[in-house]
Amino acid sequence: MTSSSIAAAPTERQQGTSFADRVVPTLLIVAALLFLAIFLIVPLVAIFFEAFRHGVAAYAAAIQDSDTVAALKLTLLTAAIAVPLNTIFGLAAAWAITKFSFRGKDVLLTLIDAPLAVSPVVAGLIYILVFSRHGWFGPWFIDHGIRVVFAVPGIVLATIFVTFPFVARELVPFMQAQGNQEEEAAAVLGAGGWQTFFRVTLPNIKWSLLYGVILATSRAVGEFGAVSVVSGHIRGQTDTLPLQVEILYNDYHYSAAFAVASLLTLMSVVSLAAKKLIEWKTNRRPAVLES
Amino acid sequence: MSIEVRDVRKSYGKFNAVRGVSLRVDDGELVALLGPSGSGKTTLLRLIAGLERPDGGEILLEGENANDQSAAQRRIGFVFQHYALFRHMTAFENVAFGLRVQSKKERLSKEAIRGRVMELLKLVQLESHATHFPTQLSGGQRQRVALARALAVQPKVLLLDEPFGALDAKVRKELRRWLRRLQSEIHVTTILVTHDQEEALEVADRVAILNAGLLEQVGSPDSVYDHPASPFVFDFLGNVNIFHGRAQTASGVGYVRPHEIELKKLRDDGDQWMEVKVTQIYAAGPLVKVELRRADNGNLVQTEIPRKQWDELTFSVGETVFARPTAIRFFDQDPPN
Amino acid sequence: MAGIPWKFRRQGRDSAVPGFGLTLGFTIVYLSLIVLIPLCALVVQSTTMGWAHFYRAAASPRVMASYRVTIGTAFAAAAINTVAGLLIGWVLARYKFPGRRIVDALVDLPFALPTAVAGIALVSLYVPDGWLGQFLDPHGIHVAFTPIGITLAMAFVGLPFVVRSVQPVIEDLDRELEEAARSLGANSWQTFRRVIFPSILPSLLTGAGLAFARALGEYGSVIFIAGNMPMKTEITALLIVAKLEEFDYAGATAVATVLLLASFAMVLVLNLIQARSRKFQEAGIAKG
Repeated sequence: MTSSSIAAAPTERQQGTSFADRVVPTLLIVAALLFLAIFLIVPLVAIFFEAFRHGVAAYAAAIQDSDTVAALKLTLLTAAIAVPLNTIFGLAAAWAITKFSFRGKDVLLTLIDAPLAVSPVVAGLIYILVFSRHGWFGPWFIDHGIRVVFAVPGIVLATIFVTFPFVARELVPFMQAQGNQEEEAAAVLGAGGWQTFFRVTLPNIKWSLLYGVILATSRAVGEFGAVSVVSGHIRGQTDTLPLQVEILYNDYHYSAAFAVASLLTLMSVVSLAAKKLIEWKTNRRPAVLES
Repeated sequence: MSIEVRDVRKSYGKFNAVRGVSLRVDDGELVALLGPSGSGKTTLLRLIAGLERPDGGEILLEGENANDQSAAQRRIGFVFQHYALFRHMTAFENVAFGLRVQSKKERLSKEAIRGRVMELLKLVQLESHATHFPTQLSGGQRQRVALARALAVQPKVLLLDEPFGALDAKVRKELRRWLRRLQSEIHVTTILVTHDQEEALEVADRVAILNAGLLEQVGSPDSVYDHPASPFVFDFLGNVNIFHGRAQTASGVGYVRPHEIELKKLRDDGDQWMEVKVTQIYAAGPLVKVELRRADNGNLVQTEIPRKQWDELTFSVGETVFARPTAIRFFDQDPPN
Repeated sequence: MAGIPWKFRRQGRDSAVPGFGLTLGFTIVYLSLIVLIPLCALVVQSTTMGWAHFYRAAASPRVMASYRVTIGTAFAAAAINTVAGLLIGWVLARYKFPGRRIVDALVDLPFALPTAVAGIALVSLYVPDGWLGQFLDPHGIHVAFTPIGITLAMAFVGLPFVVRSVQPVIEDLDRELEEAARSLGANSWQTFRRVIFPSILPSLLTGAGLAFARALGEYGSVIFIAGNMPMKTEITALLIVAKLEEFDYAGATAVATVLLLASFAMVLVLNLIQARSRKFQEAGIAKG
């Protein structure tokens, strides 16, 4: 580079600053907002618009329909079983992985992540393969009068599968970063395992734990593909809210379908808001679910 | 409570952290485990504490084998290098923790716990900070809370893992003197791990020097400093000048401390005095450090002269003077490293 | 404990912290029951049906068509997500504007929204008389019940993957590198192309890969807008469900195995990309 071209650079840079750096950001922001508006916001608005198309009374009727109420109850029941179980698992797995060293830790972590890579339909299928009449353990259950697939237990199991890694994935990196010194100190001071967990560890991980629980709950409530495969679609009995949306839609009850969808949307928005509040409070970055 | 380790060994995979160490600490003594990083001193401390299990050898507490006892069963108090205070508890709650987790049979009443905690906080001069959280305390204050917490359960032994390592120099000095006074007051057997030789020599009744998993020497601070048992110890405990050759009765590698060298402007009686040229003078502080280059082989020699003496000598850089060691220790080898 | 290689510290059973046996035991048992045994059932069923049967089921014309449709649309969706995700991630990471926080929250909506809800919302918008379809259809752009619709639905659910992969990397970019480039005479576009873009490329690819992997198996948001015509707009996931409804368990298993292998292969590729980019970063830091 000759000295003359070095001298030329600053003026070129000044010119570059004025145009590109003022107009381009605005253009990009507008483009991004426009994209998001069409891609994300319009569908959101459409849901509520369609839901109320025939007025508030029709909306209320759709929400209070007995099948829909039954679906709501089943959805909540499923989440109420699946999420706590996976939370306990997440806590146990995170404790084992972060407090001790042992061979095969990487394999364990990969296996825990496995459900994320499985298509929801396949997730439902594998439980049919195990529990249906022709499945591995199906006959045993059927002989004892327990229906697993095409019944509530199957729905719960499939939901447990798809929400399996969420709590563990939140806790493991967090607890790893926190280290074990406080737990060691507690052990030396005479605290037993449960005392150490409840008095020392739990208060330190509460936000990560809550975050994982929110992610898991949101997914448990909204799961469609896996539940659809195992449920048998028996109205009033084995339909969750997302399945009910499909049923209403396929029966051409569009408005009612969107009414139920709007309920689910509200739940999603609430869980999204809760997620964001925790992120802002704890200065963490949004989770990328699979990585 | 007396502590004895007999031929204790610990490896992590292929890495041998402790390779057969035997040591005895008497009741009420303060012993410093001194050594560079990787020497095994922290591992040894954790083995005594029960935070790790030895691969071989025995750990005896008051004469009884404690290998199978957990840390809590050994009634030890442990102070971590980075405090390990419970971050969501106040100073009071931290100190009270050990008392609150005791089984119902042993547990004191709430008032008794409160009394003991406040007493300890007073001992470490932090009563006014009882309701503060660790993030609201300075490094030195946190370490004192950690100490109070360890003492709350009345341990028979106090183990400290580089307790002042994370603090700055002035606080470190204050706290080590304060620890010394505290320990002589409450008479608990104490083992302190440090890599700072000044700290070890100042604070301990006896110093145990470790190197690469082995015990090099144990003794009072004076004895290890004045009579180092090996080149490693000599080099680790202070600066050293190396002289190869012979002197009167002994031969081998000569080790001389910087303050054990005399300087003179004029040559005097013959071959004890070496001709040297002054290369650097560092005059700040209570000691004047003079760097000299030998005329015969060009090696550098480091000397330290008290200020008063320096004022009488007044060399300048580039001048040729004469130097003679006043005390030499001979070993067979050069220092490690 | 300086000087001791990390992986050699503290074996499980000897740790001062209690609970090793209990937590690891529970973890392994629960993992086996919920994940390993059911997945094994799939593998065993596939291997015991014999290669001929497997091949017939997994490579029949209709199934092959579904692979083409699924992979093609997933790829197109990932491409859309790459561009849009980069744009949105860039804007969120670099610029401040009113409502930024809301936009940041909005990006996670496809993660949070049930797939069936997204499905019916999208189809209602893009049918010929829908809010968006009414503008596109007259120009011959048919979205609903075509592969384009499938692509859009897949792009909907995949968008957050790219944004959330690329956004933190852009936020963490070393400004000094850009300033160095500027001081050497590069303009904004050159700086972006030569300095910034190469640094964010690995995370961009990772995000796109995640979006692609998700799109391969996506079901709920796609089946409403797809039309589901065999050979034309039938995705593989739906085909599996169709076979199940016909009680063709073996066929469903075979196709599901192919789908699963494809997903796992994607994850493997992504891990390799991440591992390579990490080595590259570390080498750069070591030299620099």
